[in-house]
Amino acid sequence: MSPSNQSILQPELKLQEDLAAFKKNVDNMFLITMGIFVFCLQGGFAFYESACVRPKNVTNVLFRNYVDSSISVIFYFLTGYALTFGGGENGFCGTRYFALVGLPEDKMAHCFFQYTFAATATSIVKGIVHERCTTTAFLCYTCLISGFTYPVSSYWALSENGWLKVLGFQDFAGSGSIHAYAGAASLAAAYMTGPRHDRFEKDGKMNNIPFHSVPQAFLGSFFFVLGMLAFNTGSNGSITNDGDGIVIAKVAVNTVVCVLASSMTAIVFQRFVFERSCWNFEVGLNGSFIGMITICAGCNQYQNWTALIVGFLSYFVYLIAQKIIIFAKIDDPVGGLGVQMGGGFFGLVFAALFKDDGVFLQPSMSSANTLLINTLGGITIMIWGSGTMTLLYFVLRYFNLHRINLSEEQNG
Amino acid sequence: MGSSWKMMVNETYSLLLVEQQELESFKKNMDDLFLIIMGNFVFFLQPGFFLYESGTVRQKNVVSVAFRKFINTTISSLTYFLTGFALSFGDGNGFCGFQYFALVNLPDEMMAECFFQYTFAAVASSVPSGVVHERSSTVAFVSYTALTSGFIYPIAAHWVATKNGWLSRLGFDDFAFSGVVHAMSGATCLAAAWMTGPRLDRYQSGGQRRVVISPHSVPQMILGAFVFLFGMIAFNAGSQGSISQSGDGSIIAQVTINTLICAMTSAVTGLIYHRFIVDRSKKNWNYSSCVNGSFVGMVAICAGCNQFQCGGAFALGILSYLLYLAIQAIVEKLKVDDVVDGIAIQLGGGYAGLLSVPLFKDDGLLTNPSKSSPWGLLINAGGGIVIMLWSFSITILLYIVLRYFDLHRVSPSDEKLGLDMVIHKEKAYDHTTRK
Repeated sequence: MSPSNQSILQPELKLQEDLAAFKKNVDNMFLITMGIFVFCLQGGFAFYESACVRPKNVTNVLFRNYVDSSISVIFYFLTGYALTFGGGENGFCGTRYFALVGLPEDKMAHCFFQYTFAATATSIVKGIVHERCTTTAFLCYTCLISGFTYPVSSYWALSENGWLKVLGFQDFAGSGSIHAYAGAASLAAAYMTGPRHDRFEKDGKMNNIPFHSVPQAFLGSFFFVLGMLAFNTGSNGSITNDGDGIVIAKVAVNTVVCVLASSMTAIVFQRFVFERSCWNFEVGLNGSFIGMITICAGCNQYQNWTALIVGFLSYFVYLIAQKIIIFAKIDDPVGGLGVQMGGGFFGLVFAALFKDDGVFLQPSMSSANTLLINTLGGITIMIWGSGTMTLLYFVLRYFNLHRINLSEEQNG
Repeated sequence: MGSSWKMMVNETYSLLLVEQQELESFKKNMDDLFLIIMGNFVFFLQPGFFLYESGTVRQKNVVSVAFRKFINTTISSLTYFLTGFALSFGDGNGFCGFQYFALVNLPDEMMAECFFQYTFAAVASSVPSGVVHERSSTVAFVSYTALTSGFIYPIAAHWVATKNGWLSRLGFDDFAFSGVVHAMSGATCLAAAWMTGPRLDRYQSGGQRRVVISPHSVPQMILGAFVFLFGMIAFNAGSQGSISQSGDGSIIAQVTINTLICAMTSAVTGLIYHRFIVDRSKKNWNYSSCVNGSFVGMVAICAGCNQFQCGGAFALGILSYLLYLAIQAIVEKLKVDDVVDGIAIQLGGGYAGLLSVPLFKDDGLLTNPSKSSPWGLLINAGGGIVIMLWSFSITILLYIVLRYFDLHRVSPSDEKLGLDMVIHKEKAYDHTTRK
């Protein structure tokens, strides 16, 4: 090119560079802001779980919430992020960036955002073994989950080389890799730990242990909604590509619609089908949780009305899951097992069924394939989650470290 | 030589076009992100309402407050997405819109705006339930919530916010919906509280003496008040609608500062009023007057926050508190029982906000009078009254129907027991399970 050409193109190129740098800044800011909102989920867990347990255990719950965030930071940054996003040629896990060594600076925001997801996964598991779990067990599984098992299964689902992703697994915001995984791990933990001593009577009847503070539960649940809105919108990963803003808006609207549908279904069913003349609030809260989780897998690919249907159906998923869990005499203080496992797994299934080019709306071989992969992938993730937790608990039970003794449990 | 010159110009030109497109799509993304983030914050007003109102009622009714605030979120999203957004922002005539019912055919570009506007509708329908706590029935609550978010508020928003709306064509100026959300819901509150009647133990001695019913949890109230402040800043900032136009950032900054100034000024006005004017001997620095004052300021500044200098926001803080006091006195005279003082706050603050815009804006009546300024005052004042009459009359009609079937409030025995056990069969603070 002649010099005159170059001088005309100079401001051009400068503009391009400026724009590219600005876009990068904004992408980072987007991830950080959304990560901060998702971090509010930790506060939500604190409020909600402390409302679900008895007053004598509240300090313990809050302690675990706080420590859980801290431990998962250490282990996620040590090994977790590396195992999930560390490049790598194999389909099992990543191999670079252990202890964040060698992490390029422009991936920092992504790392922070993904950490908030890992913190969520560990929080879910701890919620279900409240009031009877030992600190040793708690510390062990927190390290295990944030450092190894959660990162590996999310590598399968999210990373380009992950074997599930290669097969066509579609999970936008982690319905499967976080919620189904955490639900399965909590199932194993709850089963191996055993129920609280006064939860199930000798004849098999279940004692209902109500909220000790409804305002806390309410506040916690709204932190959940706020956090899940960011969980889902932030999963888009960027805001500067063409059409990103529209995707994010769609995700936000779909999340709200699904949450609304599931909690309304829950309340209406409770009022008219199960317990006449009682508008039950707790049921509404649990209904909203299942909606939040089920929508994660496909929120960027639903029409608004399909999000409504997914919300409606997810309540029934929750109902059936809860019945199974009570039947199996597994004790779950926060009602999380049905919500996480059922919602997470069926979120994957519904995504394949109801998304814009899914089995119901536009049936084809590829959509059937997605359904198959999502289902199988979800099951695999759940087996991985519960399997690893069970192994851990075998060791803990051998040393009798898995639960506190009866007098400690009674005192609080 | 000529052809290489041409090639160079073409190359430059096509590069420019590509960049222009990139920039346009980037701007759109930014605008959407802005609306989503602000919408998230405004959505957080829902638990703010819950915290404040549950702190104000008695312990036996806390679950009912929780239930109603929660259901308000769900019902208002259902009705707003079904009919509300369509009536507000669908293309139509000067009265209401006709497109996008159930969000059918909604272009993807409008999604973010739809989400943001939904959070406003959730606020508009949450306010009325606050004033009739502890005695209103579930049926009444569900009906006025659905009506407000699905019909009353969207149509009023259409008048003001769209190009076709008759009020906006006449020059009605209400930036963040002081009138459309707050004055409107204040009028709904008045209608609902008046038709429902006071709580049983509020007025004693044959209606002569008003009993003070203390809040059951001050920490919850204060937390709620802070959440309100947080959410209202986003309420106002987000009403700018975009962040990518030239000067948007400075306007949003001005909006935020004005909101803070006005809210805090009226809070301090309330504080001083209660300390020095109400009863000097008591030496009472009253937190509740401070908190209510901040609400009045927050609500009043919505209308003109983008057009005031800081001095205008300051003046509005004081003036809106005075209007709040006047309306509070009228409400008490009418023996209308208002649990959270919502009528005075919303009506007083909202209407003061509407009046303030033509007075204090940069080319307004008080700052830079001209021939056109009185017209602005007339339109805002008159338009505000029309909006309030609109919501007041529809709510009255609803309540006439409800009263005919005696569905507007719970029975006296239920009210005594507390709505929690009667309607929800759940206690708010259950400390009985010790072992």
